[in-house]
Amino acid sequence: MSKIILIFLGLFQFAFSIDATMEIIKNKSSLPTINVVSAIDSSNIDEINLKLMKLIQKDLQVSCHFNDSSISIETEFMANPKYKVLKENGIDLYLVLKVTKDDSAKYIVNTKLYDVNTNALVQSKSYSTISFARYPFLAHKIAIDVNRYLNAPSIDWMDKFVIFSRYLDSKTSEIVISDYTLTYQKVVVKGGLNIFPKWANSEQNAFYYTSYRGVVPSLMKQNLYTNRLEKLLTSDGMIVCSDVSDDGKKLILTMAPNSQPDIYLYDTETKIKKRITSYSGIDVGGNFVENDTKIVFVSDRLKYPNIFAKKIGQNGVERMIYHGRNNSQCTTSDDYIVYSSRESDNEFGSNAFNLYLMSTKSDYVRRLTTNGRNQFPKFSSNGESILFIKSTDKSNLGIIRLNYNKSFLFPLKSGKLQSIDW
Amino acid sequence: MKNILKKTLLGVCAVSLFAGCASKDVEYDDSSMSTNVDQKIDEVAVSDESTMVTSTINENSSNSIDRLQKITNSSVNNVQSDVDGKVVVLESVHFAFDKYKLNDDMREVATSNYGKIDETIQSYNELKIKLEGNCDEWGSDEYNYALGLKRAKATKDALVADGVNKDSIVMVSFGESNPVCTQKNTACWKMNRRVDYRLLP
Repeated sequence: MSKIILIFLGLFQFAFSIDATMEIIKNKSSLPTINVVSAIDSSNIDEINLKLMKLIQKDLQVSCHFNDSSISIETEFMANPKYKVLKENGIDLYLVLKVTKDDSAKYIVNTKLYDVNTNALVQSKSYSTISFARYPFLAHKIAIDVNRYLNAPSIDWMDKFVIFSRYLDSKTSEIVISDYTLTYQKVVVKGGLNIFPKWANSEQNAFYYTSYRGVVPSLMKQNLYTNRLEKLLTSDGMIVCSDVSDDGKKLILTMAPNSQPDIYLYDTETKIKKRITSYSGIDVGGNFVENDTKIVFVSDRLKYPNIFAKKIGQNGVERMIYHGRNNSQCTTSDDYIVYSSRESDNEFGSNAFNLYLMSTKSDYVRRLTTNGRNQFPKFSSNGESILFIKSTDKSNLGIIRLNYNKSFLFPLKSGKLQSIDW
Repeated sequence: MKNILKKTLLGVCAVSLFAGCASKDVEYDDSSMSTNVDQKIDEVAVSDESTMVTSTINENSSNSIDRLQKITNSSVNNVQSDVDGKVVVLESVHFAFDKYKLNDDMREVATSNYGKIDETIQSYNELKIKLEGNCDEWGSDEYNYALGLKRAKATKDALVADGVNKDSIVMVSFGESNPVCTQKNTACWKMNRRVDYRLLP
């Protein structure tokens, strides 16, 4: 009898295991479907209603944790959802927005999130801003809260600032902070040529940039909130902060104190700089990898720009890329590199520049884009996403979600970008 | 990255299982506090470099730079410098795509410029020479600035070889930020791959 029970239990467990496995496989492609609607009793602010709703939908798409439902539903904010209709349309989550403007002209967005499968209101929140232009941050906050309800991997990075510089005229540029879609923008440094902005820490309360206000370029550090400006170093020819260590204490600089562009390691506490490369050609764009023990950088050692690596404090230089005719931009996260590679020999014209992901510790290489000019790659702070600029007929800001093998484009209205950091 | 992948896979499984889970217990999340997005933006300060006083940079040099900014180019290939009323016209030196070596023709231009500089230095021995390296638009951001610097360095080496004191030369690279021609054709890009000579009295 006991053997029969054991066999029965064994078969039951086997059957359950198979079922569970099948369930996971079945559901991998069936993410929860969410429907986002703007209530009909919202204030008559069509522009923000439409823009806000579209950006929330886009954020949820970019998260890769939701399917978007396209059905249009008319509802008042306080009305009970028509669960039957929602279920018939395969909707799992239902988000209703109501935008109003109070007496002080402040925009208030109230949200209600319903779990259709349990017929329950699961989240009710309120968001506000005094300026219509800031609606992207409202959208990102709302998307983050909806994502949080699912306990899905964090998308808090959506609420972080992006910093970039753009050319305005000859020898004139400005430094701008924006949301990750570059929809909201605020100029933080203007006047003259100010380029290569780089966040000084993960809190994003300060940034480095290169100023051309003097006879020779200077590396500046500016506090985003107090406006405190500090001149760290100057260099004949050029000086650029290429990377900042995770703890914010070490910088990788390209500078040329002896008329020769090389890569230096700068300690922000001791103020001591140490030369890392010493090649008679061009070495630029150093980025930390492997716990800040090694750098990858761009060099013309092969008579064209390519990516190399070097352990800090050692002599050997390792070639990293064996394809492409111009590999002059890279970004790193942990042990991974994303680089831009020109695929054709023609130096002018409509060349394809594609992005590739590779590991510093294995032969792993993955192509991330297939057409157009894809440049300025930047890892997000958690290493899960890549921000880049895609130029075809027009320029777009691209986001690649590495773990989901998906990419998204946002139209770019920012003029000619010089440099970008995330 | 491995940890991130692991967490993400767990998260994706959680998301995936959610879709088919009809009897999931839910908690109602009602925030009494409204989330305001203004604070972190309102407090952001804006700096205007054009209104700043340059206290740590040599004021004389700064004034010279300001004065030179007002001097107009007589042609796209020449830069005029005003040295106490005397106009010195120096020809820009041009380079091949992605190159920073002077060819024979451009070496002659550099030598010709040296002759004019040497003549001016006889009268103004405090004269500084500023070499500005420039590139076309076909490069990456940081690499282009280094390429501009290498071009400036090539012209500096030529001047020093011809007899100019190296301490009287300063260099700066403007990368692709200072084009003299903004059309999209090879002739225009060629004009932008250059080094401009400026004299700072």
